Amino acid sequence: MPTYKNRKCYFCENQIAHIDYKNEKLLKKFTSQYCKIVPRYYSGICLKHQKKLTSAIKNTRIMGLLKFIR
Amino acid sequence: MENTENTENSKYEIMVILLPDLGEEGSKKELDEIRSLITENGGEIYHEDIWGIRDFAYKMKKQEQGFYAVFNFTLGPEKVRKLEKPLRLNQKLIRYLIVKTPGNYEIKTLEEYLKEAEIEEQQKQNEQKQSEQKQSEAKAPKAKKPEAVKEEPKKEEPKEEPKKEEPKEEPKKEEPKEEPKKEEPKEEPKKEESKEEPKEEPKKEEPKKEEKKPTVKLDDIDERLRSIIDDPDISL
Repeated sequence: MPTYKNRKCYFCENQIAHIDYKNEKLLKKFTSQYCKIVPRYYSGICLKHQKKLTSAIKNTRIMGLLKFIR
Repeated sequence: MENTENTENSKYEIMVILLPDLGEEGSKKELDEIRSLITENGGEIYHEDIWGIRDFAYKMKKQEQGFYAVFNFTLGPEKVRKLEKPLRLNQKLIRYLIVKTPGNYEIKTLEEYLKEAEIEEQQKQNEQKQSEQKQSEAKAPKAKKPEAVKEEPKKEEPKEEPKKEEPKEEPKKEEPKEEPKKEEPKEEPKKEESKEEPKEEPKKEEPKKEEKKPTVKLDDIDERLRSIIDDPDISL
């Protein structure tokens, strides 16, 4: 999980247009230790990518790759 | 009106989780059924990625493992809904997920994702090692000096403290007694000096100490009074 100080959007920097729900190890970085989605003011992700991220994480959870609750 | 373009064919991705107990033949049959389902509806499968048996993050339908498979196919958007009903009724399917993929979507298999993750881990480990080395190098010269300095006083302090405490308490009590005695002889010369140099600080201390011990000062004051009285120069 990126810290407070890393204020640049991860997906804008790496130019990831489509956030894939299958890439569970990447998405796991943007969840807290209780497997909750990290809010934007901690992760520093832009709004456009945060919306795509949430939908991707929810899909991975449905497919049993990530946990809902820990 | 935008839908008219999409009615021709658009890209989709379906992920399927089968029961893990089916075995190779059973799972192959199920996958063939799903393929035939897509092709019968007029779709074309252009990529397959079969993950195999995998652990779940949580229990689903009393199972802790599942057989994963991913198909990329093209289909008309109206026909995608027809896929859902037979998938829902299939009892050997634990779950399925149909996702629309963008036009410029680059297919990535599970192996590629795992490789990326490995490369990232290696980079992180290398960075950590480098940072640790830098820290160790930076700390090593600095750490030795303060440790050596700290260790010595730490050992000495507990030994000195009890010794110091005892003498400290005594002089504290003695100080107020000793100080005025010592200062009294000093005060007289200071007063003489004070006439010449009135800016000196000890002036403030003098009156306070004179009040504390009037017995000694009375004599002094008497002497001064007499000296003043005896002075022939003063005319009232």
